Amino acid sequence: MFLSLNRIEKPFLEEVKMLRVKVSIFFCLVLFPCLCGAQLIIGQYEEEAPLKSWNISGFIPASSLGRAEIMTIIADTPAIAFNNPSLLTHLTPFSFYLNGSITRASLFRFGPVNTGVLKSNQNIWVKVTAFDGAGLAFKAKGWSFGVGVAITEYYDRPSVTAESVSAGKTIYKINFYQRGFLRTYNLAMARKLGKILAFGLTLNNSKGNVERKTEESWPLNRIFIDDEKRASLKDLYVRFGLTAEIKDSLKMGLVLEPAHKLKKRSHSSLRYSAETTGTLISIEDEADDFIQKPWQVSLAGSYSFDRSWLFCGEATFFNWSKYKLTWFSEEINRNFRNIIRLALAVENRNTLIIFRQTFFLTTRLGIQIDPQPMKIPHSTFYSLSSGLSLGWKWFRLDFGTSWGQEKGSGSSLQTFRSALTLNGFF
Amino acid sequence: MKEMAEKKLKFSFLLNFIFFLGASSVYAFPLSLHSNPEEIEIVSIEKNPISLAILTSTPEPLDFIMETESRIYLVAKPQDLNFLLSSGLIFRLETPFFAPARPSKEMSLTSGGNGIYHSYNELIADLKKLAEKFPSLCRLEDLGRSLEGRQILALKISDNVNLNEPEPGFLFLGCHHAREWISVEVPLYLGLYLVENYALNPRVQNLVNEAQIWIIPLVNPDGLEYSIKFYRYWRKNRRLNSDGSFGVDLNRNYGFNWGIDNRGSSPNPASETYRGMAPFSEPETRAVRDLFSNYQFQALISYHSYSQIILFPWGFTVTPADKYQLLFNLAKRMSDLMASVHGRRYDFGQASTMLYLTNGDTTDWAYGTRGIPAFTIELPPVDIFHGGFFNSERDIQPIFEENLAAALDLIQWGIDNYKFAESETKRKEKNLIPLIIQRERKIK
Ligand SMILES: [Zn+2]
Repeated sequence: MFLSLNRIEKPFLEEVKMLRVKVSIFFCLVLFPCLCGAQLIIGQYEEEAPLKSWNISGFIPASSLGRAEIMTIIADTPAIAFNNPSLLTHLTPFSFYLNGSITRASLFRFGPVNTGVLKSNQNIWVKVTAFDGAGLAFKAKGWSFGVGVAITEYYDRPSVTAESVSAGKTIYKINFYQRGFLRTYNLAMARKLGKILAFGLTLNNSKGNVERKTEESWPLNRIFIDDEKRASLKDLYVRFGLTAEIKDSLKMGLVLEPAHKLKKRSHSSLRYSAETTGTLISIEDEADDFIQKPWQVSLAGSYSFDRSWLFCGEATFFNWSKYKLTWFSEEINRNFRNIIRLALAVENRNTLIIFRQTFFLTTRLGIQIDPQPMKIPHSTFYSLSSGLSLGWKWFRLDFGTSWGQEKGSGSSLQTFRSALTLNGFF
Repeated sequence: MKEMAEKKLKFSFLLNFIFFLGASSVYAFPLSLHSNPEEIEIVSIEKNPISLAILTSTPEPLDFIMETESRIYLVAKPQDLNFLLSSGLIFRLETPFFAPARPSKEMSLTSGGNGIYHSYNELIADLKKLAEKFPSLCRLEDLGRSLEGRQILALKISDNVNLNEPEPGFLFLGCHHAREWISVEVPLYLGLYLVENYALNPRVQNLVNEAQIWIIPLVNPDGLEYSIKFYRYWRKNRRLNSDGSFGVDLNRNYGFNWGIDNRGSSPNPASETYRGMAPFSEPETRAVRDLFSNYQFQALISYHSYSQIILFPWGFTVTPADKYQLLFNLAKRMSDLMASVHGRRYDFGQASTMLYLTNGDTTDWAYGTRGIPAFTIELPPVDIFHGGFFNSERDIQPIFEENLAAALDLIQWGIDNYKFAESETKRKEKNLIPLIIQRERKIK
């Protein structure tokens, strides 16, 4: 059967133009966990693909963002509990952090947009504003502890509404959106092992949800179709961290995150209703699913000289080839490849005296090469980042920003992220 | 006397018929038949003055179902059956053509994101299970891969299933169009029914023994998956077109009068009826073509939805086909049988005049290249206000049941037709032999 829709009205979707792309939703960590995200290339229309990049390790506060997301070797915020818990041993007896961020990312294809009925002539941007991290760290009886909460993954896509209008009346309307996030609660502990080594363990408990909805309607005919897929997410996993302070100026860090299963309770609801005939059809489905997250290992090093310059680098291996998931009980093979993400950064540390007050000023620059796990196309983000920290007495304000340009997909995707962190050290 | 008898019978039929129409939900005879298979049979008897006279002389009036092609269909209780046997009337047992079939309890109907409808994986699993369970009755043939690498499987059902016997072939196709989920279920259920009822039902046994029945429940697996996972109303396959749009309409991609005009299909890649770059440009239609070219098919049904219509060639022109009358009669017969199951009436007619012009569709190609009856059955509902491409899960079974009656009847027709053609050929051959011998003698 064809033209079922056109029987009632024309034109159909090929003539529909995209009317609105809602791109900005404010997100609040605790009260309103709704946000907007984006991600990549081939995988970008898979709902589990996280914002910005598939490669997620821990949480990225502003200082880390400014140095190409290197997180496993420099102890400058208690947020490192998410990434390398052994670094907690290098912090002051009590510290805290609050983090907010803005992320912009472009998408080329997702959902029915550019792979289905809706077509845009350019990449669609999405912006997320989020208060996305908070936590503290303290020391007691030779142990260091960290507690935190952060949004570690976003699954949002731009919300799209398209309409077909004839003689001033809406004949057909489609609304598509996807929202989702993963909030991770973190409990970390660490201890020094002699003068050189420090060991840490962090336990992450993630909870979140993802919801995708396509709403179609033929308002004149009073026909409505809702296609909703939603899932609640749960995960419990650990990260092990090891730091070696070989010299005052030379440090090495090693972090391991074993593979873990993110559990999903999936629900599908498909509804058709026609008011004129009173027809109501509902098709529901439920399943217990999982996403097998790959194990990852990071090796990082930092070298400082002259007390004002610091160089650091980090390599992270993601075992994506073992990535698998189920979607409503059916195994899905994404056929990913293993990848290594590389980052290099430099920091300059200075003191400033203004109005007889001493300020600590740090500036950062970094580059990151972040290959994506899809085999076809081989796609990589090349990012430049910079950052600035201003410390005064017990407090320090960090600002970091990064710009990523993707190559390989032909879609020339881009990402921007800026973050602001307030740290307190006592 | 005969006139009187005919009148009496007609009256009795009318009463039963009114009862049937007026309370079709109560008159759920297939259900009672299913729960009590031993007690009731459906029989058909050729309508003529003698049979009418005998039928009106029963102690109790018989339950009339319908009349089609000069045959009367009746519900016969055991005593009615005894009566018919003792009367000497020649009747045909039609029970299997009406019997409802429940899908096997082992079917993978639990998830997949689309309720009890089959996803690609569920379908493949069920087909494999069936082939493993009944290796002597059915086998799977891998017809190739879709664009995204999914298997396109055909289920062959026949006795001696691994041999290519000189038997008439029948092809049942489902889901050329992704969003037409019901069109996967109907041919699949047909396959399950034939295999699972082979040992139980002599008529099914007979059909399976004398025919090679091929079922491709899912011609467009990529499209179906996209329709489940991303956009419910997706229609075409998943070809990435030159202009960045997706999909070729597989039911406009067949190679008979392909793209003859731009009304019956579209040259525009973004169109819902985009016919592709060339005839059989898509692996999914090539899979059907290759199977079709290897066997002697007698008839074909391609299931679609929606509209509740039986369509036959031509689709590309409003000019009637050469075999219009045959196609019309078969479609009418199927429509009558379908209506007799649950009272749902399928309209029927030539595709181009009933619905719209189409070119490059399956049935024009099958009829155009082989001259065989080929039907598009647009399954219920009747219009977009009653669900459009949605069918409630509880409607799958009734839709299948009414289509089962039609499918079995078409197979029976094909077998009869094949036998007739075969005997004609033999007769001609017999007549030829003496001539040749005579000639040879003359030469000598
Ligand atoms: Zn169709």
